[in-house]
Amino acid sequence: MQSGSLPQSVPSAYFEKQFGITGETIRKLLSEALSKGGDYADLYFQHLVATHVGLEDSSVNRASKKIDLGVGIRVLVGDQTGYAFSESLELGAMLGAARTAAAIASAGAAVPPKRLEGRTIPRHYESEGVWDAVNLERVLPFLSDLDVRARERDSLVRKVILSFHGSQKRILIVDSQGRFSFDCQPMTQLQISITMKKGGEKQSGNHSLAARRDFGFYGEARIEKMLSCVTERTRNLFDAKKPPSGEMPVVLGAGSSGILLHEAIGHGLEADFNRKGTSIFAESMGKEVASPEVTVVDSGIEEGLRGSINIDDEGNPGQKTVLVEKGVLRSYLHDHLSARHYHVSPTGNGRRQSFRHAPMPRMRNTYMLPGPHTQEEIIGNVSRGLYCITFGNGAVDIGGGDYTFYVKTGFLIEDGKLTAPIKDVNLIGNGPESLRQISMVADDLQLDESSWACGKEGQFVPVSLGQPTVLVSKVTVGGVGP
Amino acid sequence: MNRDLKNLAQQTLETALSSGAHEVAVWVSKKRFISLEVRDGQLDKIQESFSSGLAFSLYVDGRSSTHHTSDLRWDSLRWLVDEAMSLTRHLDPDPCKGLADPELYRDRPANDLGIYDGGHEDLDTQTRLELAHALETGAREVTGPIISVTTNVSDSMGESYRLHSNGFEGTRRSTSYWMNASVSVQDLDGRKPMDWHMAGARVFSDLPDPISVGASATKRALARLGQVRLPSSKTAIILGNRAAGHLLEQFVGVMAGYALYRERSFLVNMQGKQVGSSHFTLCDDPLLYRGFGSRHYDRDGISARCRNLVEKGILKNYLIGVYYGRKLGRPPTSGSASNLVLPPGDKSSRELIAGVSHGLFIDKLMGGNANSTAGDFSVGIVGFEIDQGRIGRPIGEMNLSGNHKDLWHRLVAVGNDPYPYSSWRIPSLVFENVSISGT
Repeated sequence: MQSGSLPQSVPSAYFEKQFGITGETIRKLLSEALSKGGDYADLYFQHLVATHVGLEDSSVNRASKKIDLGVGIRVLVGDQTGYAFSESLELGAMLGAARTAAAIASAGAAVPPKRLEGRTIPRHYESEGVWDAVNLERVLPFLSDLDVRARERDSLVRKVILSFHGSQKRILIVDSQGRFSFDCQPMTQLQISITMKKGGEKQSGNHSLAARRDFGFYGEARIEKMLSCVTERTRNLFDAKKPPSGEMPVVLGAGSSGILLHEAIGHGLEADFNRKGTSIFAESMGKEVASPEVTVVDSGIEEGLRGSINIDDEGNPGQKTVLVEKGVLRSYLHDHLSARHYHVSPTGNGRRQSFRHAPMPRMRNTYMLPGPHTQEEIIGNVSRGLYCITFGNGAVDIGGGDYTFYVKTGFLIEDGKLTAPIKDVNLIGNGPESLRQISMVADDLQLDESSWACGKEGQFVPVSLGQPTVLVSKVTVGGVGP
Repeated sequence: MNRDLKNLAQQTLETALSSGAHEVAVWVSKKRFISLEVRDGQLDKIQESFSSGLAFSLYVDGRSSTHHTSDLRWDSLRWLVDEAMSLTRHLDPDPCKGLADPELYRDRPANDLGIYDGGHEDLDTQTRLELAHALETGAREVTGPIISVTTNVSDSMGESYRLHSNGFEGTRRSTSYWMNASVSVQDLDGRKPMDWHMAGARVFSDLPDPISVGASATKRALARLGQVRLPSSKTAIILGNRAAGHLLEQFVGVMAGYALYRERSFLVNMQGKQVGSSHFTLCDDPLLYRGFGSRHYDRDGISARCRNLVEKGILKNYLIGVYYGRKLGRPPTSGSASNLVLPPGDKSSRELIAGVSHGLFIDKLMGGNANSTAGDFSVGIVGFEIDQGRIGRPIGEMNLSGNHKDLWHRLVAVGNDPYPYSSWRIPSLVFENVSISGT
């Protein structure tokens, strides 16, 4: 195609119809972006429409809508990046941004693509129009009903706060090789937060659900489980104590304990840190980095899961990448820049928070494959340690390898049995050491459906994680004591 | 503020009112941002943007909602106002919603906050690039097993305009400049510790010497070599000025009106009571000259006032905005902190260290969290051993834990070194007898 309209057969016509972004506009922008001799350029158009509705004091009394529209323009010269964006999709404003990004280069003009070619991609979630609008006639009674059910479930419940979110993000990515890709990414989230009071004491708990699915995601079984989890765990807090401090064996329950992988190895495998030589895993490719029990994948193709992506934010198809296979490091997480640097294919991990940011290697759904043991067997193997169930935020020091994550609830293990409930304790360890100390892996892999967001250099992207029950033979527990 | 954006705000307000809203607040903002990153002597990344956005809150028959957009085409805004009106009418009424009482807009300060540098537009790319290279030169003047040096120079100029249908109108304009050097070094055991040093200012001429900033980053990174873990114990700690604010965040976070109303605060019903030692004073000072959090009015339009949140250990004021003020039946103060100042003591961090016979100097916190309802906290720590009043081996992979209802009573001394590069000006803090966990 020389100029004029984008092919009508593909949904990328959305940006043409809504905002007048034609093939001609794209050629002009790419041509401006390459005018100083960049060797690669891409355009990232984004239109996000999000709706949020909230309940407090048994009334649905808050709501908001957000529209986030704009284009990000990136120019590469070798490993160097020029980046600019424009919220306005007027040609003049976009050309200005293209000129700014172009300035990273300082040679003669490079040639823009002659043809634009759409890419077809496999889909891992319903794509069109799921959350363009939130059906209030359905959502409002749903929230009120949830509030009533949470209060009826336990007389200790004093406060219920609910937050519901539905959004649709449409992205069009065109690069200087002439490839263009379009995706429409739905996201919904529901968060419940309760406070209970018993005598003079109060305890609070949260639970969230998130997916790239339609309203049908909130089926009865899932809602029932959410309510029972949040009330039961909050009630347990009244009897929970901080565990003792120091090094001990820790059993991580199946599901959201995947935060161990996210922090202990996931970030360290993001190829930008390795390209720069600053990750502790920088010289570990093909080497043993974990015990042979451990196989870790990062996948963008789990049906409807929060971290799934049909395409990444550089237009590469979402895919499943084996990071660690039976303890051996097999791949980093790549974006376009790092794949080019390492002469490998991109892994579909080039992601960004919005058009305001250049993409970076980021995780999607990161999980460990199941092993041969059972949960009972693993707990039975520990004479004195912790069993951790719900988790909060984590962090990692990429170069030193030290990672940390917060445990909200769990139990003490004494002589192979779960005993007293525990709460509010930070775990800290060293990634490479802990991965070698994973001595048992169970057969009960669960992918977590909570609304995890991964932060890096100030950018947040939706992710998920998962893990079977595992035993880490030694972790430092920030409890009370000595 | 640009005339077009102001007009757009006014037009949005009028449209909402004529569509049936009883009250409306609109705010618009625009920002120019430039960031330049140099890695190992080569320009790695330039980012530059002009951005703008509009947001508004509608109040219709006791119902309310808030909306944000970056699509400033009038047709699109008009559509959003209609959508917003219809969304709002579906909600349950809430008598506490509504704009602030105009009384709260009165006596707005007009002093010069010093937060705008008129020379910002004259700063050119060459100067920024020279700064970034100077940071690296400084970093490499310190010798050691350096793997990589990344330096970043960024600056921004922002303007905002706020308009309320009951008589509030305000504008704010500010600039800020930042520089940062991050240095990765090679340890003998394969670890690659990284540390950084950053500095920022409201006006360009306030930035410190880039050579010294770069050099500090390398010194910090080299000091991390040979990290050890100590046994769990109860000990004295000094929270360095880079780390102190992070722990204090968990305390200040639950002073917010919403946390109190939701009973997710360990400070409920503590006004007038002792929440820390006599060394613990905390002032919210919106009028601080050249402060990163300085302002003449807050998000509700409430005129800025300096007030103590904590005074010699006694909780004096919460951070309560208009809405949760009505919910709680209390007069609002402000829904968010501006500049938080913990008044400095008279000892340098070196003197504080000399006063501790055995303990830890904590330079960074890592991850961790707190239970806002009960006050329990547990966080990762990175720092140094203190042995006989001197800095000893670097420590890491350890935790600090306790309860905020107890911790601040253990504050025994405050340094003379408030962290200058944040709206939170918190000096180094000394606590006695707190729990750390390690081997």
